[in-house]
Amino acid sequence: MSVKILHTSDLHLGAKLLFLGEKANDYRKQLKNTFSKVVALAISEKVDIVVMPGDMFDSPKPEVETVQFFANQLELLVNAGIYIAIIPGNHDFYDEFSVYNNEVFHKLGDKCGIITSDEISAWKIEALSLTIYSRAITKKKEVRSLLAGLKRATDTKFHVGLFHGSVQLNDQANAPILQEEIGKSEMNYIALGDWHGIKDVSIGKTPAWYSGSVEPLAADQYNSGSVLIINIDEQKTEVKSVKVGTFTAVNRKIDVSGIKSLQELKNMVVEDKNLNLLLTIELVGTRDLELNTDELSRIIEGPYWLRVVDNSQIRFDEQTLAAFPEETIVGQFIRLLYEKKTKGELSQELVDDALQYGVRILTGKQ
Amino acid sequence: MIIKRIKIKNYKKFVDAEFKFYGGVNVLIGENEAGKTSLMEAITDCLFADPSSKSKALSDKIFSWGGKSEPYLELEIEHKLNKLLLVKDFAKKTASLVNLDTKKEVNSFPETQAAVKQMLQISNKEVFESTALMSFAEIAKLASSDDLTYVLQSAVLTQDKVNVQKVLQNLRSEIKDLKVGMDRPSRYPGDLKKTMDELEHVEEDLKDKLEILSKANKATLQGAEVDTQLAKVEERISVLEQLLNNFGQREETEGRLKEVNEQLQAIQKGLTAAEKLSAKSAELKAAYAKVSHYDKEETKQLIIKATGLQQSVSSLKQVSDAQNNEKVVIKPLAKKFPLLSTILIGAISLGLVIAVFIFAETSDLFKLAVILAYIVEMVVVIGRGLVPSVPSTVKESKPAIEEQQEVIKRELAEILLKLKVNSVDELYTQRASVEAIKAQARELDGELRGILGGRTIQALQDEMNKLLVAKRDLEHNQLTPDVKQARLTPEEYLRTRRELDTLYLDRKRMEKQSTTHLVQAQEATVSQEDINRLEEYQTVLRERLNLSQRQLAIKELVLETLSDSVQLTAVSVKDQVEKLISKYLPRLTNGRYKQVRLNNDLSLEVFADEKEDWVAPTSHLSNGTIDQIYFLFRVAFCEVLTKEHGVPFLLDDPFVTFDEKRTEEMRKILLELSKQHQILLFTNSMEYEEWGALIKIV
Repeated sequence: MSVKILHTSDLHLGAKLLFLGEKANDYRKQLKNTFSKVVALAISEKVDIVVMPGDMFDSPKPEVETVQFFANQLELLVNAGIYIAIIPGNHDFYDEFSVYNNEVFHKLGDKCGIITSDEISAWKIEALSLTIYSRAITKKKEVRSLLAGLKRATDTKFHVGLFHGSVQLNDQANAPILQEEIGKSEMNYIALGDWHGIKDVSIGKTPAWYSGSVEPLAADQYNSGSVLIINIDEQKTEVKSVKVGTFTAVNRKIDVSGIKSLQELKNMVVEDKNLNLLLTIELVGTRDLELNTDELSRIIEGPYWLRVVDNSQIRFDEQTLAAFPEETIVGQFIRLLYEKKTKGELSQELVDDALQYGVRILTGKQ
Repeated sequence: MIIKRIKIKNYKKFVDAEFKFYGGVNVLIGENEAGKTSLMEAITDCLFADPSSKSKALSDKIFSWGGKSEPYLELEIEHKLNKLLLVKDFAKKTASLVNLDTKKEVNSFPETQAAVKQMLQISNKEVFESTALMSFAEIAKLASSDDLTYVLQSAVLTQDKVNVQKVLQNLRSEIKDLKVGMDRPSRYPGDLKKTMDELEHVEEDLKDKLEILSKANKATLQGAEVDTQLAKVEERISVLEQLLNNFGQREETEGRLKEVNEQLQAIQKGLTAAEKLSAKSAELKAAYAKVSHYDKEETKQLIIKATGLQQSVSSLKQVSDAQNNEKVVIKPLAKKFPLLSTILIGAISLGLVIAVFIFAETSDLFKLAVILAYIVEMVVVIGRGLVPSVPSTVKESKPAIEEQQEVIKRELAEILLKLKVNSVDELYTQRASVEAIKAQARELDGELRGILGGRTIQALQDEMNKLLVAKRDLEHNQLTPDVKQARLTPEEYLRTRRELDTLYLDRKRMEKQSTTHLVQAQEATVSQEDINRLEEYQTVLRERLNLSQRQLAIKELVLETLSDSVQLTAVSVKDQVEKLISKYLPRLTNGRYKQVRLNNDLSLEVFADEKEDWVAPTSHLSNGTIDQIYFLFRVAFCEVLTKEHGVPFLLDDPFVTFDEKRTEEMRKILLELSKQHQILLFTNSMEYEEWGALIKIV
């Protein structure tokens, strides 16, 4: 006897994606497509239950169409005989006006369990010999031990927890989930939500994971894009991640020191042809006066979204100064700006940019 | 650089001429109008003019005064041990520069000019004319500070690869373009203003939409609140309605129950009575059974017979008694006339019977009974009529009577024995009791019929059962505990009624409110998705604005710094210029003026010992001194500008205002300068023929 679970969370349907600007709408559509893929995966993998520990919606009162979309997807699962367990997270927290009170969910019947109690409750699913322990996030924001007192409460074979919140790692003092609570919980598996990257936070004998979001929802969510498939039998719990996301957030840090041309820099960036990158290029080091990094974002093609963060500084040394003698205008210009930079009255970045721009126009390159 | 030779065709004074020059000082002597200026300009144009230029001024100037063909200029140059040939062919509109040793050639105007600039460090004619070319007529024109600044800056700035003036100008205009519409409204605002306007528009739109959404959300909340209140009101209404309902039901049920109970009681009473009566009737039946044989016809006949016998006995006794006692007994008429009376009675009775048969509509049984009764009567009447005859017979003889008596007595005794009684009287009593029982039974029957009213006891029983069921239903199903407890005093009833009426009004009001809120919430045309999209676009615009602002900041910073650099560069040149002028000035002025200085605006000042102050040469000094100072100024510029490249000086009689001593000093200075610079001194005076190689212009 065993039970097979698909774990996905933090879909954030209807999310505002400011960083994407005018691409956000297209991306939101993609997010829905990806969730459809997850549902199809659950059906083809013949899982017994899909668990969603929170933040499936970005707000407690999402758009009607969005809710309908989600309910339709859940219906596909229910029709395939798959159980569903959902808890509200901190974004779609539960209150009397909650989306989860919508009748479209009631229509899904007993197989779809939306748990709205803010105390730990146990949902016993006889057919799977499985008990789901969970606790909804409600309107009142509380910092507390979410898993406090969690232990087996039924005679089923399998026991799975479903919670939404941060696990206390290192010095996160206010995180609502304590590692020791995971260790003591006697669960076969704890499905966690809130973090957008996939993460194993198992303690002792208790396997506990964050599945992360199915797509990155910010340019720095590098570990998003997967769901987890969990196989529990009497002996062990197996956790396997499956990539479902279309987009990948990537941060490429490049030291521009010594790079002579834009082409050389470009060649360093574009190594894979993945069209669905959310690519952040961070330039560091000291750049040559000649290297116009502003142009980089214009000449790179391919990524779905690109941002160049230029944290590099212009190389300012004897050699640079020697190339521009004091008695020339450019020489004077460089020295004057250098003075301004040292005085610190202006932002270093502005001075650097002015320096590059000035030198470019004074040397006839622009 | 040394100009070795120039070939001039169709240029101003010259149709076809060639001049050779030497390193050091060359004195070019010619009469007025001999072509000195033409030669000087030919050199300048060969160095800087663009043969393909369509400039009218240029063509007007360079065309030979009489000639019809286009000019041709050829300059042989020696530069850093290279022999070069620079050609400007205005007919072919070509420029070329050939290295005569390597035969390397460039033949486009920009390339030739780039080479010229490299050789001279001066890139255009204007700068050349302001520095290396010094004419008496023009030299003091550099008096104004603006000119100086321009010349100096031009000189200095053109050292860089681009024209800094142009760069500054472009920067200013770009900044201006960016800022269009910022200070005052414009129909075609710059990027900055355009983005700001759009952003403002989006922000206003967003504000409006957020307000609509917030109103809708508020309406939803209010609607929900009203709904909650409404639910409470409805709950209270339902409680009160139930109470009143229960109260009504209790009243009604209890009424009905009372009715049922009454009915039940009545039926029970009737039933009890009926049962009592039927018990009595049973008793009567039992009693009747005991004496019922007295009711038999046979018995009745026997009784009649016994009666007759008894009477016979009595009659016989009377006869014997009369015989014995001679007592006269007054006899009834019938006894006096027995036959007559029998016939009379028989006739009347027959008449009655006939009448009954004819007139009365009676049953056959009754008719039979009447006939029977008639027969009985006739028997009795006839019997009686016959009896008196007996005594007469008895009268006949006493023993006969006694014998007769004995027979009758025996017969009578037999009957009595048969009927198990002791006397005829007892017989009568028994007979009477039968009748009494029958009468009683009849009465009882009547009574029972009265009670049952045509029904049977079973029917009554059924009815009672039905009522009992009804009662149970009322008690158990209708009179539930809630209903039973629903007791209201009249005041309480009224109060409840009034409360309910108020609640109905509240409900109506709240339903209306709820609908209003619902409509408000549903009518909101804005969705969160709209807001998302607007805010995302707002971010785009903010980024765009940031970018524009950043570009503006960069450009402004570059402009500011570049302007400063220009000033500073000029100032750095200033020192060198000052030093160079001061090197020659005391010698030229015979020690009168030793020091010059350039102000930051590049105005020139000389220290006048007699005034013990710095003075501007143009306003305080003599023309000769002014010319000396500006000659040196130009030389100094050239030195600074061209450094070791040694640009040739073209001097157009610049020393006419000099006295002998100064002229002599100038000769020495020129000799010194000629070590670095080829000097072409144009003059019409033989005064200078000893200064260097003499070239005559004819």
